[in-house]
Amino acid sequence: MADRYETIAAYLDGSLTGEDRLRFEAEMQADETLVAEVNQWQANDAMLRAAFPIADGGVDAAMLNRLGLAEPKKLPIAANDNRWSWGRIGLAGGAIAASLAVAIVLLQPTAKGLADEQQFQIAMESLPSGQTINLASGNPIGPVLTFRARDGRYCREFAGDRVGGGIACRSEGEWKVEATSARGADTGNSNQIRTAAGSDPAALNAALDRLGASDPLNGENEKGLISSGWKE
Amino acid sequence: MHAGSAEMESVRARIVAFLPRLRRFCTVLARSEDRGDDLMQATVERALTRIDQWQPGSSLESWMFRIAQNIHIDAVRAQGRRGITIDIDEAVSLAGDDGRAVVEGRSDLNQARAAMAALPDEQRVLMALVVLDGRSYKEAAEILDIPIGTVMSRIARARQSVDRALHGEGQGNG
Repeated sequence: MADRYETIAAYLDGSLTGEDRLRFEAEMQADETLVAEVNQWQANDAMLRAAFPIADGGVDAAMLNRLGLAEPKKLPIAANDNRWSWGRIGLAGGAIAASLAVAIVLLQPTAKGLADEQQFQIAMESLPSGQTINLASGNPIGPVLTFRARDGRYCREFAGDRVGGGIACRSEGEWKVEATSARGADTGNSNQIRTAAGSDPAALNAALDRLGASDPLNGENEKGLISSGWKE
Repeated sequence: MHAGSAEMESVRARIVAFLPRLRRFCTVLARSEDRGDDLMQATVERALTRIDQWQPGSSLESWMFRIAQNIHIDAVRAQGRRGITIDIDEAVSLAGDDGRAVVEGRSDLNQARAAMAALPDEQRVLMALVVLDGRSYKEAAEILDIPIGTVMSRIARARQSVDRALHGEGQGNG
């Protein structure tokens, strides 16, 4: 049987569930000392997290060289007041120059396609907005901003040089593409990455409305979510 | 894993994406940024040379946390035999010494670092996994290959020690 301190810790760590959690919360309602202890431990945790932050901007190039790992490229980001377009603008130049015709490449479940899917999942799960990793094709892709959908899911708009952008939302540990910026290419709940040489922000705006998008999360919040594996 | 070049590139990208979290974990384990970076480097090298031992589909991150923990334990044992001790004052000064002016709250953060550094290895590694990295008790138990009950009790003892270090004996959880 867990003692008082183990129960407080488990409560703070999200490991107290079901009836145990309800019983503990009822106990707190009747015990101010317990509430004070829980609050103090929670503040201690916050202090520890502040004392050991995740480094801004990841790991520097010199360290990556030392480790024999390639440096991730940064997406060019244009300054823009529009809350939804600042990230998209950065890649639009390349995308528009590439082609006026919309070329949708639906990735086939080949080894290359699977590798791309994996890269995409990694980018959505672990990269701060503005950083990219390369798909098997060599094209970089990465998140440009993060928001919360009305249904509580976390979603990220993604984009890449020479490939289109879109929106993916996280459910059950997996990022599923909700919409792409290619004209007429709303993929619904398809989990396949579509890339396009053209871009249509209207498609994304419609998806943002449909999802009930919150304001974009700030960098701190986003970093916290990445480091906690997208747990609250 | 029989890694083709595309798969290997994908693994490398995943490791790069994971490095900031691994670096923090190693810093906490080794109680200093420099030793933490050495530990991170040894961990990445071992992961890359033994990548065929990683099961695709299982968590690469958990596997690398485990590698780091094993290398750290080996190093601590070797230091113990050589009689080298770790200086807690050194640990207190780690992180954030970038020449900027001391800002308000800095001493609180130093206290928090000292409290963490003073924890025994087996408690500190759990604080790094659960409180800093947000791993569940189940994941932490799997990474360290210990029972969940042990995770629970060590985390609780660690938090009691941290609380005493930050607030003194008489307050809070007395």
